[in-house]
Amino acid sequence: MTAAPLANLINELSRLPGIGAKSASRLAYHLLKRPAVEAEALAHAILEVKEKIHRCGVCNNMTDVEPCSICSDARRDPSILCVVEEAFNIPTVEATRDFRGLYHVLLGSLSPLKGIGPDDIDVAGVVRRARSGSIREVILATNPNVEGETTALYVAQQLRGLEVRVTRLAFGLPVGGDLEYADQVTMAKALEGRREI
Amino acid sequence: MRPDRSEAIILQSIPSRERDKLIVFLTPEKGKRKGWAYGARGLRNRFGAALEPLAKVELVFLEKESEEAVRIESASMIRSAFPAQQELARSLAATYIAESVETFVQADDPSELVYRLLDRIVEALLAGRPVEPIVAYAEVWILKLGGVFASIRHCAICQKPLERPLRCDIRGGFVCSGCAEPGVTLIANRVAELLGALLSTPVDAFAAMPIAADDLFELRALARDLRRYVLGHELKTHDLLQSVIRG
Ligand SMILES: [Zn+2]
Ligand SMILES: [Zn+2]
Repeated sequence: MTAAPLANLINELSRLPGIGAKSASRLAYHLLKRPAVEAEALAHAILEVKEKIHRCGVCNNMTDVEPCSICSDARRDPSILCVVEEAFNIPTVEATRDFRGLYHVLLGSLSPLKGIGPDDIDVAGVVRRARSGSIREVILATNPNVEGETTALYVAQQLRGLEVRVTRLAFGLPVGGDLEYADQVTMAKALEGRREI
Repeated sequence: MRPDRSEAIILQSIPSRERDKLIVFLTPEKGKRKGWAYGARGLRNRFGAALEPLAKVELVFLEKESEEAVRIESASMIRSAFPAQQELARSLAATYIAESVETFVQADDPSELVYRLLDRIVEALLAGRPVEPIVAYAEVWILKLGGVFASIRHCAICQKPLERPLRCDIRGGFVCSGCAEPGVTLIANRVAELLGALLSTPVDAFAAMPIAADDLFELRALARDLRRYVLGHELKTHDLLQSVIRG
């Protein structure tokens, strides 16, 4: 029989994404073994995030200032907008150091089977910003799967008629792999997106 | 545990846990199944595009007697539906048809006919045939194969040959004038003819036929009423698909 406070912690941890009952139990026992200051630091970090982090009113990125540090960075190019599904996709694009435009987070993807329709994600925000006039190109960087593609097609449809160039991330071959392992869809898309060298 | 091998069409691909996907798929022999594809969410996973909705694949999976979901070992692509999923209405139609099949087919039942139907419907979507006739075709046939109505030739109650106009009782299909109760829907002869053509023509040929928009609308309305009565609700993808088809 697990003591009530410990069972409570295991229960709370197991509600986190990707944490099953076994992992939750392992984490709880690990925390128990560590000094109290470590547990306090963790608890404090969690509370601080909940207190101080909110969505940027312009782009929906997670931020502690308003607007977020990307939206307010004067060195960035405000004429290019990169549309991503989730805020955690931004660091992935930023890591390339090649993109100097701004972002818009959709807050999900179009997924009618899960009851997520166009009004449940922020397509309207993309359209509003594209209408504002300063944007020349919208890059649709949704996931390279059927849901991401449907979302991109829907956003593109909503942008039709506006004076903006709408582009989609290329579906390429993974760098570092062997061609013989590419599946037919990836290969076909890579051929379609070929470029001159 | 023994490995099993089957041709299958993917109905739904649900991201689950950190790196996995739960896959709902249709097989000709064993109906609708569920299976775990471990690591399938990674960009360089071994399944590639083979587990995306409506892909036709050769699956190898392991069955555990104690568990409902199998473990998918490998999936090799026979035909991807992705080219059809790069047009909004066509992509949503594909999702909607997959949802219909998933809703009306029972788990573990032989489903050879539904499988062949879905296979040819995806083929027609890939061939670029007009979307709405394909959707209508799927709607009506899935109801028929799901046992919602049996025949448009014989009365569902007394088995006598049906006369025109056709009468539809949403509680059980088409009935003769003798068996019809108050409230049955009278079907216009043009729509009944279209229904007859749909039930006797392959999807590819049906979608290539010249069809009046009004007749198609009425035929789909009939299918919608039957479907909603049986399910008690509408399919989740229906409204979004309709808003895109109507433009
Ligand atoms: Zn921002
Ligand atoms: Zn009768």
